[in-house]
Amino acid sequence: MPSSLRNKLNSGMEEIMKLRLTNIRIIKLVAALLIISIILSCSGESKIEKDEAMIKELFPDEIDGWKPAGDFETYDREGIFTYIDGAGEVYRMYDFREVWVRHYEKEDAPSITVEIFDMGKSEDAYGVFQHASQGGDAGIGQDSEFNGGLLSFWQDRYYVTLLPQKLTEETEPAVLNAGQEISRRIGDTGRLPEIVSYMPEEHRIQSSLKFFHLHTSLNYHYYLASENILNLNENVNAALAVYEPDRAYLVLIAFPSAEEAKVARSSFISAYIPEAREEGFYEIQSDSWTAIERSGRYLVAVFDAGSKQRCLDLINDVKENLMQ
Amino acid sequence: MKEPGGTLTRRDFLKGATFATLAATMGLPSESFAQKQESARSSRVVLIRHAEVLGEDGQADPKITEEMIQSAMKELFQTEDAEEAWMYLFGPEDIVGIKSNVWGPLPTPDAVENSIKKGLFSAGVKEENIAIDDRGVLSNEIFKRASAYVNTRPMRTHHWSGVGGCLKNPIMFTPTPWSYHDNSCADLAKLWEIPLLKDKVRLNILVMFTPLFHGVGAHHFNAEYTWRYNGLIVGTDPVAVDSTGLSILNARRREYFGEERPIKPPPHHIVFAETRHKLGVSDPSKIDLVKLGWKEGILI
Repeated sequence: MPSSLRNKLNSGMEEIMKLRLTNIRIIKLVAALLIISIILSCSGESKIEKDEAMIKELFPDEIDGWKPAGDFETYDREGIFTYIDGAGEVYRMYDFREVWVRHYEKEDAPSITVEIFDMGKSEDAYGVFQHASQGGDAGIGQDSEFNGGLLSFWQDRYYVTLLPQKLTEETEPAVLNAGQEISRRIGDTGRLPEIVSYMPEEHRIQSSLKFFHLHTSLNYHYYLASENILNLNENVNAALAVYEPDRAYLVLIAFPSAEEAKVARSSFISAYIPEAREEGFYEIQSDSWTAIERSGRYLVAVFDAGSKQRCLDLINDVKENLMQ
Repeated sequence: MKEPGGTLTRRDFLKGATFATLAATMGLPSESFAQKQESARSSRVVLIRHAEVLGEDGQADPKITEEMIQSAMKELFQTEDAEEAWMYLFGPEDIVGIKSNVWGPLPTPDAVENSIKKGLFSAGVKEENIAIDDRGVLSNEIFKRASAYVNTRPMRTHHWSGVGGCLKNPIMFTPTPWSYHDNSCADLAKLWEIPLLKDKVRLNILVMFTPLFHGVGAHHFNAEYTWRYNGLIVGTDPVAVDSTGLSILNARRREYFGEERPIKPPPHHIVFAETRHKLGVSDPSKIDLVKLGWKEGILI
């Protein structure tokens, strides 16, 4: 073979090899991208699917002879209103994500509705449970009650309700058994809001302890004002409890910063007890004292206390707890 | 007292008579609103009860219900007969929507809806110009063209607004009900400014046959917390009608629980309907309440 031809062939082969290598690189690159995108898309889908599957798994397959009727229903923060009208706002006051609902039926028996609310975090599952809680533990989950025909409990980040169409000798144990089963399926437990640990325990009416973020919640438990005079908001954690013997209300609020706490204190004094000025204590009615004090980023407010000293005692108890 | 429309605080409720109904709901001491204010305006409301309006099955008897409504109308307008009273409010040219309520556990009874229709007929309103609706009011052709409305529903406690009564019933006149939820529905009376509704509600009938006086959880219904009150509250002022219903619920709660147990959340929308929105009268001392019929267990 003439050397010129060999050279041409060699150079042609080199070109082909280069082209092949380039193609192989492109193919590898495309394949890698494809794999990455598949992994990414799969991981996205699988997370949603995993969450869905996980929540569905919490529902019992059967409740003492009651069988699931129809598909699961699910409602998110916007859709909740189509399910429970204005009362959906109660959940939206917390970090509510979605609720899953399943109805169970049995021949010649009232139906049972099971709702599992994903509250985003355990603190808010606790908060929404405590919101309307009247006390009386039914022994299910981290706290529960069976009141007015409704079994409710919280555990981990879930708030769970079981509502029989009618409470009968047959539905009552079925609802309790189903609650236990759901609790077992949830398995994990969640932590309580840190702020409730600062509330004094002595003389506290246990069922009165509440955890919340918004002034609408405060008004639900203790009607203070039509407007938000304590500057409560989603970034604020607050606890409220009632104390014997004078049934004084103690409210502890954690703001993100000391400056916000300071502004909120001024707002409160100006709107509610302007007479108190900077001191922050005022007898608004005979033997009914109101007080407010700031400790760093915390505000401590006392309402309906029997005396000024009583206000001071409650405030000092909280401050001691905050320092520990 | 603050200017109407401003911030109202607990201290205002402790001071003033204007907020007597709500103060009572909040369990505040009765002496705090002993000082009665001069009536700026009064509203006439008729409470009528009948011992046998409900059958053993809990269904309202159509004939007794009709008689109750007719008697209430005569008393409300001080007329010789019911027909004249209906003609006080409605005429043959009217197109009338009856805003009912279909809430499953406690809907407006058929007997009430049908009695209202009969009353409208007696005033000359044509059958083809009457419609009954709740959740479909915005797409209902009669409601869209209505010159007048009758507003009727049962009274019940509510997980978010405290109570659901006549003031809340027009919530379906907005495509965005949640836009009225702020601050536990404090400004529900704004609903009554919706153009389709404004100044057209001529009669309010709050059904107190088996009111719900307490609830647990968002779904909120338990027959245990209803009782056979067998009443209707009839008036042209929805605020006065709801305020009267609320007083009865409060009394029933005291009777049932044996203590003051405030409705939560406090139904402050009833007070704000008067103070902020001037829709009517919420203070019981300014309501001209006429009681007819069965008196046993009347609670007010």
